[in-house]
Amino acid sequence: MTALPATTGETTRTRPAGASFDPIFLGLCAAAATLLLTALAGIVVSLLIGGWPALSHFKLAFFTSSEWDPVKDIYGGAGPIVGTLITALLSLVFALPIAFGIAVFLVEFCPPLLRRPIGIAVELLAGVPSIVYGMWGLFIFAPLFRDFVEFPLITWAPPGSIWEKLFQGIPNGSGILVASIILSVMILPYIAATLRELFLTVPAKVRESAYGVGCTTVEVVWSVTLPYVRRSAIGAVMLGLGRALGETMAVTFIIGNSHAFPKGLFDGGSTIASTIANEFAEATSDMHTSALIALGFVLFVITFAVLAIARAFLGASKHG
Amino acid sequence: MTDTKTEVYESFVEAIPADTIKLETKNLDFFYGKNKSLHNVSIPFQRKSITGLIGPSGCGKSTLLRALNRIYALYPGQKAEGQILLDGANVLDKGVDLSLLRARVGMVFQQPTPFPMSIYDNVAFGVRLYEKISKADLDQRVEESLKRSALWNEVKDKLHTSGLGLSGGQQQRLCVARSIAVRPEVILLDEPASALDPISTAKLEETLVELKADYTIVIVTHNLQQAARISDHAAFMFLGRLIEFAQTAKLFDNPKASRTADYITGRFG
Repeated sequence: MTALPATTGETTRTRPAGASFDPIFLGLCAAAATLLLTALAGIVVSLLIGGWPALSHFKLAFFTSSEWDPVKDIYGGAGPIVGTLITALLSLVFALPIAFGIAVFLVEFCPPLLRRPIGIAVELLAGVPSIVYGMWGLFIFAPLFRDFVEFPLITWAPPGSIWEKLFQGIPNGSGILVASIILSVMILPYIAATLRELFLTVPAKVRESAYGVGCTTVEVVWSVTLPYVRRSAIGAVMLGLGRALGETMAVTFIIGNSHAFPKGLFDGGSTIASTIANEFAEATSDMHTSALIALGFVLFVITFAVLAIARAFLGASKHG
Repeated sequence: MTDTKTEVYESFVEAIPADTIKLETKNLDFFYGKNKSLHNVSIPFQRKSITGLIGPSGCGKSTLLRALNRIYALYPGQKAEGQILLDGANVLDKGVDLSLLRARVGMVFQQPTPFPMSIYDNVAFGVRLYEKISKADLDQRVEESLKRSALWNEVKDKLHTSGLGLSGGQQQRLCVARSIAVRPEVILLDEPASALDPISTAKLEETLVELKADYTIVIVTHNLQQAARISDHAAFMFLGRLIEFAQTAKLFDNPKASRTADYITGRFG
């Protein structure tokens, strides 16, 4: 008797040995993920090792002193660190209301015909290379800003007032404020696009209900749409902040590149990224190089913290 | 089924006394873009009573409901032609204040739609839009609305917790409370019980029957028993047309149109 393959009833299904690619597939995917994590860990470790001489030599002064003097080989990073935080926060302050307006307009008011063109324009804005923003900022925006904003404001500011302090600096069209404005243009599309996506996640029936009890559009947006996306919106804002923190080229062009503590909005300053971009090629002493790498490490930590907070907010809950 | 396109639709509409009519449509057509989805619908809704709209899916009953408070106007491309008379005034006229209209003609949807705020604020939400009343009065209004929607006992100890934390049935009664808190004149309900379990449904139905003492209620339902249980008048719609409108008992016991008879006996739909 020979064993015949079953032809009726219960059939036995077998695969030829080795036909399953699952183990290989799993291996490849796991390898890809591991590679990424290894790279990340490698970056952190090498930044830390590279920056360690500076960090251990200057200790806390690296964060508190703004004396950055390559000639004397003294490096205090407070200027770039504070400059990074100020420009990023200011850019957020400028970008947020406009991004919010764009998102609300697109979702609530925009005629269907305009919806696509405006959406595409927002995406294009996000796609402009940052060096282009930098050139535009330096050659076009900065002179206009100097003539029509800086001069008038400095002339106007009453001596001894808080305004005089705020508007300190040389009116040359570069400085903290100009850099923040350019940055805000750069992060605007990201925040606007994310907010728009979030607004669209509010169920149509919830919006209809709000209109159904007699809300006007303003009331629907403030009382229902915004609370509905509140948490995620904070996440969206944080993502924009993360981008503003790390932006390099555009800022390097227009921030004025001074390592001193900025005294006023029109004063020159620097950010971590602009400092590294400016000096890395010229860093001759080991300590100078190490100080720049240490700055990079600080930027990494700040950005990582911001993105982690963004993740936490975006992922924490669907709404509420 | 016969070819519906060439068929002549006869519509049987039982007259009700003109002075009891709160809301009525006259020769109402409705369009989704170029698609005509309501054809010449003329239907009266009696004051302080419940009118049930029944019919197979896609017959236009929800569309009719959405026309009554012009909620469709949120979406470009949707439009209604004809007349919708609320106390004799055409709400389709240009220049009608839509927010005010919707405060007068409230709506409850198929899925519960609590707002992302506390139970109290959900109910007080619409009131705050239109009335400047004291905290004490507002408290009272919230309590009264929750009592009338039969939710008070279940939530009175947690008024300031999120409305999103309630069960589906409770959320739906919260939406009813939110609706009646603004003291509308008409309440529109679009299959309000379809997402609810039988006990919640029974509670909701009780609530509606109690509410009709003060409100004109229009309810779309897929559930014929529900329509038979709670409505005073019933309208049967088919393919965007009103086939029959009559007192509920008459429509169910002695339908005049053969299509109505087929539908309520379960022969189609």
